[in-house]
Amino acid sequence: MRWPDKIFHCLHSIFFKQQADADLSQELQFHLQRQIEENITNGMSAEEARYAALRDLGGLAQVEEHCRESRGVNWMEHALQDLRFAMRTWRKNPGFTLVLVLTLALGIGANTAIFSMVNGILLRPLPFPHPEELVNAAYTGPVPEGALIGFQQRLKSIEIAADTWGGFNLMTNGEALRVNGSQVSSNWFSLLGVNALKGRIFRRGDDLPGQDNIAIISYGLWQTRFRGDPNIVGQWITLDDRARQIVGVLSREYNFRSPSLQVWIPVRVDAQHMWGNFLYWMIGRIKPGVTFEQARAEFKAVAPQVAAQYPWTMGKDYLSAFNIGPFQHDVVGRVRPTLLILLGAAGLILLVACVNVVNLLLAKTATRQREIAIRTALGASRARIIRQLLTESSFFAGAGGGIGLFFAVVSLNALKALVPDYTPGLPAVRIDLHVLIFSFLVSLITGVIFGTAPALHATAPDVEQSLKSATQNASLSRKRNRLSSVLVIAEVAMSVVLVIGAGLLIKSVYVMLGSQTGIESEHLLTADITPSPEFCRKHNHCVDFYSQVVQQVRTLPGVSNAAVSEGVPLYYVGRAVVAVEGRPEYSPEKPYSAWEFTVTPDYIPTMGISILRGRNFNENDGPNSAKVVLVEKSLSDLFWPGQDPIGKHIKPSWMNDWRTVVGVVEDVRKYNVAPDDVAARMVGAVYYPEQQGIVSPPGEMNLVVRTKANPLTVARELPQAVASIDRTVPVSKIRTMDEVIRLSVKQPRSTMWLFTAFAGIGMLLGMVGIYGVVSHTVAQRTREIGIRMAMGAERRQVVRMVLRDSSYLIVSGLAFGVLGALALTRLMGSMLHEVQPNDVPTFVVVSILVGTAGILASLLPSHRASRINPILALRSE
Amino acid sequence: MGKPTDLIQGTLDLLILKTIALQPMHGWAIAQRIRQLSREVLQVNQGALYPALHRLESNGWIKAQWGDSENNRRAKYYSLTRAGEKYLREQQATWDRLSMAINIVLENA
Repeated sequence: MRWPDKIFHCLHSIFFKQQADADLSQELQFHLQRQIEENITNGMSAEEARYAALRDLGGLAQVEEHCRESRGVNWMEHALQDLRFAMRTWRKNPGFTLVLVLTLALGIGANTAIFSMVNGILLRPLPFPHPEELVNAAYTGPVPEGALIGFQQRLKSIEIAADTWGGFNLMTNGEALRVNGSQVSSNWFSLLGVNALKGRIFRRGDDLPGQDNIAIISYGLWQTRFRGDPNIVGQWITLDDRARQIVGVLSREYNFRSPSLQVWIPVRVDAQHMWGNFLYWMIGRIKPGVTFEQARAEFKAVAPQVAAQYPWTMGKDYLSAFNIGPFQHDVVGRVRPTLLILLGAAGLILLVACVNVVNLLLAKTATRQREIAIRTALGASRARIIRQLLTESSFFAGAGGGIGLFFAVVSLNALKALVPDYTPGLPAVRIDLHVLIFSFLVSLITGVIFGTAPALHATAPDVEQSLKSATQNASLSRKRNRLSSVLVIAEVAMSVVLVIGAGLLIKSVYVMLGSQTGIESEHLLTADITPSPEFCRKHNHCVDFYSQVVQQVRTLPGVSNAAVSEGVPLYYVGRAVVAVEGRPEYSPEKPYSAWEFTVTPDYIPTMGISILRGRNFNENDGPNSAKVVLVEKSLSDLFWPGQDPIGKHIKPSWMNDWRTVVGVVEDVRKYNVAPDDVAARMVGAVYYPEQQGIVSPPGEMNLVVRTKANPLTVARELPQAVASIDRTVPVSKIRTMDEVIRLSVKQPRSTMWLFTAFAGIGMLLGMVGIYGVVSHTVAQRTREIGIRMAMGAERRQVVRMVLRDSSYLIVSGLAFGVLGALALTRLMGSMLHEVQPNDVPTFVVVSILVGTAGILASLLPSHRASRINPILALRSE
Repeated sequence: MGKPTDLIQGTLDLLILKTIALQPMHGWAIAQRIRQLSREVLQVNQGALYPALHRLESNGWIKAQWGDSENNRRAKYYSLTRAGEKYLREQQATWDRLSMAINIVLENA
């Protein structure tokens, strides 16, 4: 085929459309004239001849249209024409169009927003070179430094690096600042493939004693603390009492482990502490040419050799836990289900939106039946009309998509709060080309989906009927009503699924917030107080310093009590493996892991924890007196059921001296969202007196302060109070306990809000759908209702009749929805805390809620039905 | 003479091409010519004729020119292009094979 010709023709007939049309009509006129002449020659009258000629041709307008079509013109011209027509329709029905476009915008916007998260976090590879080579090698948890070196030396197919993170005290201008930092092996950045923005990254040898007085800082710290000083590299800073030279600044995009990290220093290589601290989280990079399976095999083969070097006997499970896994899969593993479920929810919203739009358009095409019939009579083919309706719907979808994209941009920041801030890829979440393409495709597909059904219906070949009367066209409208009903049932069902999902999440958050914490959170302040290890070595393991702080804080106006602790419920609680005297089932293979609090004596009363038996700690429980502990009720019940726990013995498993239980306290809630899988298997909490602490010097401590009045006024005084004792010890994260509790449910809460918003949108759309369908049915049945009322039906009966019909839709929708929810909410298990996915009360409440909403939506049209004036109704035909 | 026979699907193109292969013609004349040559057996549906002409034109097999008709009115004359001549030869060969095959079947079955 000759494309140049075709294109020429096509363009010609578009740009010289009038010329082409004039030519066509002249050509056909000529034909008619000749035929008429011929007919007259054959003996017809002039009038007869003309009719015969027209009849033979089969209608001028139709032939013209067929000719235009067969030129293959005109998809482009038609599209433009249809678009103009759609715009006209749009201007004529602004309200209708607004509802339509907004509905679509909500659906497409929700999908675009969630997809931008999925795209940035789940789909896009980690922002490092050859991310597929990166593996997580920390399935055993953190390992001691000796193990790290052991792996590094033995492994041929994988390069291993490791890090550990925590807080540092940064001294600048005599002022102490608490910063988050990380100790990394010297190959850390080179293994990841990260370069410094300024200066250099760490290199081999940087961790050797004497050469390790260096640090790399984050872009953020450089900009804030050092005001973007261009000569930052080479400057000296003091971190935890040790001078270090800044050798590099990382770029703003670096986000690994946590965006809050501000400094990086080399790991401390220390022959004396090779095995004591289980600190280092290993990652690896598989060397080129090695398959993942080969690398894993070698890692597993090397692990026993490394473990054999440990001076400790490790549990049986420990060795078998050594493994490697693809990095991205591992780090995003926890957010994957949340994101996918939200994507599913957004998909449901879009479906509901589509259903609504289909129903709106169905009702609309009903009134357009005559218009379409006329166009068909004028020679428009069915395909042509369908195409026109599809162009219209694509136009609406495009408009909805545009506004939806705007919604997505606006809501993106709120969405980012849905996942933990350490999620890699989170900074990369934005509306990029992929998201735009996704949004465009969704709009397009949406347009086709919701455009097709009404278009097929509108063009069902029943022209004559329609031309005669739109309202008598009973069979067609029955068919349409049946379709509408099915759609509304589906819509209600999908709303029910969404609302049940939201209900479960709300209940989950509500249960978490409402459950007993074991403490009195009102008028309670917490803060981090973090002397450096060096400082503590000088100050009798900091014990003196802490008692000075507690005394100083007590003198502040408005303070009734204060204490220092390691561990605050719902914030951070440490763990330690314990041995229990007389419980022989304890063995190295099955350690008891207990929560651990190290506290000054006033901690228990300051927090408002009840003492159930025995006594609290007091000033006499010093470093040289008998070792004592308090235990939690659940621990006491577990180990000594039915016995008096006072006088029983327990100890950290690696220590020699037994410690005597002197009291039992009420359980406190350690977390709302379990920090890991192990949390559920903890045996309870043990409290150690600070002066007999199990870790010394104690690391980061918490200051807890009970106030008489508004804790925030006291909060302002705290830094000064501590600084008056020592200016080098920073006080950070000063929060009320209520805020701590709120933060402990931050992620589930934002997920809940998003889901609730989705459910709200879904339910609103569902109500609009029911309203639309019921109104439409009422409008169609005006005559019938008029007759009924003329025959003596009362208004109440009419209302009941309409409501009965709509309840049928609602109840069917509810039934399908509940079934759907039973199948789907199981997927939400990981997002629900302390609520079962098939929680009966939630299902019941939601069913009642959605049912009521549905009835409310159909009340207005049913009321309108009861106001029908029988006389007008009967005359209206 | 019986009722004019409807054209077999797809043969209209062939007839048009063959008819104008001799000389350029306008639409009405094409219809008349086909009718005459077939001794009134083949009746061209005029409603289908013009769309067919426009389709052939946009495929590049025929071209159109305005000219004066036999009674001095302006008419659109269609003639074969070179591509059209080639297409006609192919189509005619196909048709010949087909009709021969049908004849063989009808005579021998």
